[in-house]
Amino acid sequence: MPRPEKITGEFLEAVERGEEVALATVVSSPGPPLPAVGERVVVWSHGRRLASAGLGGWEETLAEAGQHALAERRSGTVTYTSEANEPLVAFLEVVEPAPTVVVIGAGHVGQAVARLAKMFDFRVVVVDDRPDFASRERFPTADQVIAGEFLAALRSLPIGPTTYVVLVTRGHRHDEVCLRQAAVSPAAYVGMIGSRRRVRIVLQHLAEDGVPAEALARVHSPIGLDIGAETPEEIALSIMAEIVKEKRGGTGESMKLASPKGAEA
Amino acid sequence: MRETYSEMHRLLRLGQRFAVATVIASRGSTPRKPGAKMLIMPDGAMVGTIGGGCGEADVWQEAMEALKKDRPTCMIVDLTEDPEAEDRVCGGQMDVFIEVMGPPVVRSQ
Repeated sequence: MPRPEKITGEFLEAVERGEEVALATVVSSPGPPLPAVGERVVVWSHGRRLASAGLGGWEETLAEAGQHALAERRSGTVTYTSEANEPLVAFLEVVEPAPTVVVIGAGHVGQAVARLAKMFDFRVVVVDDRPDFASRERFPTADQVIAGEFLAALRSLPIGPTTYVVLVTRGHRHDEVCLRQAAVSPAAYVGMIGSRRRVRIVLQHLAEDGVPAEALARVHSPIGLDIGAETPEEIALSIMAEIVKEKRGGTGESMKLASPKGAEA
Repeated sequence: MRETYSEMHRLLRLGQRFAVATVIASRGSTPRKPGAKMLIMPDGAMVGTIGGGCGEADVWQEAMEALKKDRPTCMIVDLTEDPEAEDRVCGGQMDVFIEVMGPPVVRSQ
């Protein structure tokens, strides 16, 4: 069983990867037979956990408390009292995952989206099955660049309520396969590029394949706000504008004041 | 806050020795909420903040002590009885947990 430092390391690594994770640490203890201060357990929302050696029989209890904190998304202390001893106090630590834009497709549009998303302080993950495209050179500011099969890569990523998925691959086949996965995920936003005609066909395919209508209704496709975008950078701006609008809850309309009455010539 | 986590991760990977002060509970009007962290290096350098000035010096002192004794500790940072409270924006209490990370010092005796 690992040392406390190792557990904290696992926790920090999971935080960096944007995973849903909580750390429960003993911060006050009456001493043996109860676990000592510093013993800890890290728990993931999907149930995995890793405890330090000295936690003993308390692993289960603290892991459960960690899951509870994770569900509530709140850090704080929990106190266990007994008649014979001083109380045992544990600190439950939950880190809100950083808002993340997952860019599926490393072409010109993907490149511009990755650059812009970083400017807005998103964590940026880029995926493409062409290693020449999914490269550090092309995405120097991205937090993670994955060269690999689209669906496998998407499945390997933690997709949660703070994840924004942008489907801009070079082929509709790839977009469709990924959309099938992303549409039913808990992502905050799923958008797919394409012409109206193409998009209609893809959505119809998925509907016929039994993807629930509510899931498809959440998909932003064609992607972006209508600003008349033409170049990759303009398209990226249109996509990021839509993502910011979803995140902040705007209308997407021009803020220009209506002309005062009588001003019309 | 995220930068403090990254730095802590980096130091752990390097096997460096440092203290971590974490706000575990707060009452009243405190500048930072549970989870806020500050790292303290054995040379006294600090990374991150648990409240910029408000009681931070006391925490630093305790952290240096913890590093010396290689022992974790809990402390209450009272921001209400601060003699300079007038020109400070906080006035609550925080519980701060301080622990030492990394390899223990080898003492030659």
